[in-house]
Amino acid sequence: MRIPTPCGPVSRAVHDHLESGTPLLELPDTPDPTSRDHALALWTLHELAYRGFDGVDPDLEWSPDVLRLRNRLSRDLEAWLRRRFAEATVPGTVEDLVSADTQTPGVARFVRERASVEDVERILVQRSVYHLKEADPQCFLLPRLRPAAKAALTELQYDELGDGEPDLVHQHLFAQALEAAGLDPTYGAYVDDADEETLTLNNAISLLCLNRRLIHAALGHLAAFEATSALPSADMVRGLQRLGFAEPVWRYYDEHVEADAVHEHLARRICDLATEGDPALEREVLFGAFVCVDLEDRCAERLVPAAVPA
Amino acid sequence: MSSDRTGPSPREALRELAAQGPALVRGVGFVVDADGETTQARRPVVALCRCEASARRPWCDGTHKRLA
Repeated sequence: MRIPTPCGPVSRAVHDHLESGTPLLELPDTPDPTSRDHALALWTLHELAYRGFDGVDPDLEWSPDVLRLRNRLSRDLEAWLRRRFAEATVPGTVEDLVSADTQTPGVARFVRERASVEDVERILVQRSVYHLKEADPQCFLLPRLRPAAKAALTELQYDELGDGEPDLVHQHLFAQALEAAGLDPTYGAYVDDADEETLTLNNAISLLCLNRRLIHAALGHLAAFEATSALPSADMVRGLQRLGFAEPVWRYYDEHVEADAVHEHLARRICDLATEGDPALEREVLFGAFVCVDLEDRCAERLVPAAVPA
Repeated sequence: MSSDRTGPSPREALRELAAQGPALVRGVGFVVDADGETTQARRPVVALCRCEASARRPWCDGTHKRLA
């Protein structure tokens, strides 16, 4: 993919550094993790650890300038996430957090009940930023886990990545969904169209998965993500069928009904194996689960227009 | 006659099963149900529905969470 189009001074500096080696010395004056400019800059810097950009020197992934800015933006984002966690009324367990969240209508119910074709296209565009790299961030967690948790996470990841069948890799199923909906299935095609909320959600996942220190939060995020997927995926299938979308568009979600009914339990077990009952680590798991639910809700607020009273 | 009942009511039993969630089983090739119908397993670990409310039996589809 090409380097995303800048939308402010920080993402401009990142763009120019990657494109032409302009020094990346200036750090932003104040933290502003929810500006699209900062979110896009961090997304771009994270992407150097995944697939990188056309024509960009792969060595820049580890350049001191890149790491300095990435650390700064990451710290700002983590501080913002932890502040939201501290200020929110959060149930004591991941299960209660997730079940409280499933009471609130989100994107899936909107699609099931009243979204238009254009609404769905808008949603698929935003979702594509993550779904086209789905399960990639969590691959970074594997070497950091001990055998029991490692074996359990591998079991989950193997299923995410197609059980040995390239056609069943979940990110590939989503690419086919985009194509069948008349959208661009290319990796990263819609980053320029991504809302700040979408970029921040993606940045949070990379933040948790790329930093070994945050591994328990990363696992909590995964547990919440999987636990809030099966039933909403069934809603997505019904909505997409209601609107007459072709089979490949809803097949991605159809696959997730059964898959995530399994993954939910695997992910919860992985958390237990990784924390071994340590309350501080369990708190980190809960923090990660909160990040998942909180940022998904932010995206839903952006994507779901308020219902017009009948 | 309800006072003679020793076990849970059907509703209570369903709640209990729903609260347990599905049975996760590794290495299932196929499942044969009571009517002799065979369903192939497509993944290395499957979640078998225990509450009988799933729309995708024998597989779990998460519906138990709405019953528990």
